[in-house]
Amino acid sequence: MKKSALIFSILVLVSGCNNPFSIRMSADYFPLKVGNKWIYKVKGEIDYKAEMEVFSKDTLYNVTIQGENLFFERKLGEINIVKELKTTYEGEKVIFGKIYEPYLILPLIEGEKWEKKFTLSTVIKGDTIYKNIFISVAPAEITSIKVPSGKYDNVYLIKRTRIEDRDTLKVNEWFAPDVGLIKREIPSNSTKWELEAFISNEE
Amino acid sequence: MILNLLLSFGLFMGSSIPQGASAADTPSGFSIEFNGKYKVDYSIMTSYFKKGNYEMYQYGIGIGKEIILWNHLSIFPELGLMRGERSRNKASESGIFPIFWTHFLYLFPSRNPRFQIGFSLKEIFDEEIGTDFLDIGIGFRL
Repeated sequence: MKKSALIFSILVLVSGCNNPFSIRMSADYFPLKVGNKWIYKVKGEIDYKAEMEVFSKDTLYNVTIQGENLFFERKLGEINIVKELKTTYEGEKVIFGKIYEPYLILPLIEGEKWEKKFTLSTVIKGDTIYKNIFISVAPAEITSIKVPSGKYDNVYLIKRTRIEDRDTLKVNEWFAPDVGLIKREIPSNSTKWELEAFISNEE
Repeated sequence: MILNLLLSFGLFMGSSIPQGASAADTPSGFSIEFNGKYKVDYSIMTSYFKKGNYEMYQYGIGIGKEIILWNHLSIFPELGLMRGERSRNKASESGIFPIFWTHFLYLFPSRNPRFQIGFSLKEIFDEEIGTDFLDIGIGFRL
C-alpha cells in the first residue's frame, strides 16, 4: 500500500507538472514585470536589433519599444493597450480621447477568436469627425517554434487584423510560456521580429 | 477500513477573488482510509469556476495522509491529479494538471458515525484564476 501510494504520488508529480495543458495553465504568456527585457532580431528592408523593456509601473505598465513608450493595462483576464487617439484635421491636431484597446484576452485558449470595435467622434469647426477602429483575432493556434533564442513548445499563435479608418494592418504574434512575445510578423512588408534574448528581472 | 465522507461547499474563496467571479466547489467527495498503520487516504473531487464567459471545470483524484494533531483536530494534506477543461467564446481546451489541497477537520467525539466539520484550502495552479479556494465542509466517518 505504501509503495503504491508512493508510485501514485510520483506519477502525479511527473505527469501533472510536465504535461502541455498544465504548462499552459500555470504559465504567464505576457510577463509584464518591471525590468524584463526582450531583444529581437528584426529582418525586413533593413536588418537591426530591437529592444522591448518593461520600464516602470504605476497604474499602467510603461513598455519601451525602440525608445517609444507604449502603455499596457493588465487586469485579470485581459491585457489592454492604452492609447490616446488623435488625427489631423485641416492642419489642426484633433484628440478623440483615450481607449483601452484589447491586446490579449487571458488565458489564451486554443481556437478562440474575438472582435472589438471602437467608434469615436468629435466636433471641430462645426464638423463631426469620426474615428473607427476594428480589431479581429483569428482562432488561436498552439504550435512549437524555433527562434534565435531557442525552441519553444506550447506557443500560442495570435493572428490579429487591425483596421483604423482605411488602414489595415495584419500582424501575427507568437507567445511562449513565461517568456511572452517571441516572434512578430507583419506579412504586408515582410518584417519579422524574432527573439534573440529574454532577460528576466528575477527579484 | 474507514469510509470518511466530507461534503464541502465553496462558500469562501481567497482574498484575491476577482470581482464578478463565482465558483462552485465540492473539493472532497469522499476519502477512504486503508490500513490503520499507513493511513493512506484517497479522495475524489470536482470543482467549477466561472468569471464572465470564462469557465473552468475539473475533476480528479488525490492521495494524502491524515495527521491527528490533538484528540479532535486533524490536518489532511493531499496531492491530486485533475482533468480540467477551460472554455470561453465557444473555444475550449482540456488536459490534466496537479492540485494541492489541505483539509482542516474537527472530529466530534461521537462514534459510528463520527461527525466532522472543517474547511479545505485548495490551490489550483491556474495563472488566470490566481486565487486559492477555501471551502467549508461537514461530514461523517463510518
